[in-house]
Amino acid sequence: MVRIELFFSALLRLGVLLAVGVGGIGAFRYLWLQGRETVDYSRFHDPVPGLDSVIGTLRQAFSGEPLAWIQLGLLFLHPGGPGDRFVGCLFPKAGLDLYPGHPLRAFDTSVRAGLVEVGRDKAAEARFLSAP
Amino acid sequence: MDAWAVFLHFLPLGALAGFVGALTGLGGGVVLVPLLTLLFHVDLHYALGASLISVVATSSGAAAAYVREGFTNLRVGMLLETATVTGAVAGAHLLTTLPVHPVALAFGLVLLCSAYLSFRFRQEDGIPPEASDSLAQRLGLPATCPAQGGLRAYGVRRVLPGALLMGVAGLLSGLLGIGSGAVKVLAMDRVMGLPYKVSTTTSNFMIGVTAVAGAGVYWKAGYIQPLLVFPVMLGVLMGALLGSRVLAQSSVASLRLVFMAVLVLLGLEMVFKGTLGW
Repeated sequence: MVRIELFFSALLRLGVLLAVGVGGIGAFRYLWLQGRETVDYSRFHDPVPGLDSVIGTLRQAFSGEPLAWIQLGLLFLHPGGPGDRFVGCLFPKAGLDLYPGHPLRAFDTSVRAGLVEVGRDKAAEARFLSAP
Repeated sequence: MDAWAVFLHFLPLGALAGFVGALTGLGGGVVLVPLLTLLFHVDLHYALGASLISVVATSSGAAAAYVREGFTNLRVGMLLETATVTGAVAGAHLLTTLPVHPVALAFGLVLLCSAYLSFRFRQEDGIPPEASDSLAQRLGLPATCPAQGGLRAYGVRRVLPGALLMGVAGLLSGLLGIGSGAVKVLAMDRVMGLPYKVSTTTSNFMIGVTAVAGAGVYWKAGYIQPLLVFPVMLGVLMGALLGSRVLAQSSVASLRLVFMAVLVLLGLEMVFKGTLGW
């Protein structure tokens, strides 16, 4: 089990480092360029256009938008969730001998749980379903 | 408030949430949401988005250390994740048919009773390997964890009731919109007989999966504001790293006291929601 533990630990670390590095670049740029701008989080605003999908975030990040870089950093954090377990089950030599099916099933069910969750908020559901 | 102020205010807030989350295995949401909404008047949607990312960050930041040090029982975690996410799906489906307020009230009372039990039996810590049941042994669940003077072997019992309770944890998570870390820790600690530190660290490893499940939806709905969430995430990672170091040095009795305090807060919140509405 030692090898698989080191493998998982390394994957989790990689996600964290990428999240901090990429997000940090965006945060630094944002603070440098727009640090004195007033922001209001006391009311809910519409989602920032383009930042509500991976493709949109990537597109805006390549055009140099600092908020998109932060969003991209947050996306890198997500492999710390089911992604590492999914990769773990595709990595048989790491020693994951007993549970190759569990991470895959957990990943699949998690995704479905996320989709079911949409049912709570009709507006979010409509946005979710109408998204390309 | 300008962008600099957002960073300066929310970084320490995230650090506190990450520290508590890493010590208790509950994620940081239990601290973060009330502070963001009550102290900084942040809209609840944004607070929930920040809380979700904080849970993923706590899970990733602390688990990286816990897994490497050998506290986390990966096999138990992966086995129980399946039951939790299945329960979460069922809970989300039952949302429209089950009355939520009585469930919240009952859950709150269960948490308060659990806090009392956690306090009363705060010296107990795991079962010996020979007390493992046959299913746990067949699945290879008994393992070792770091202890004073080297590695300590421990056993695992009542795998099926534990998995069932994990299903209930997921169900409550889907039904009440809360993190299910509290029930996860209680199931592993009290029912399955895992050492306390193994229970909290394995819960930490697991909570990221459930959180990521909702993250995509929150993302689409615009609940995750990058400028608000990033300092929280940075703080959470720092707090989780510190928490993972403190946990290794702390006594089980003192960790149980922290856990008990958080359970009381969560229990009161649920009783409040159950009696006075959301």
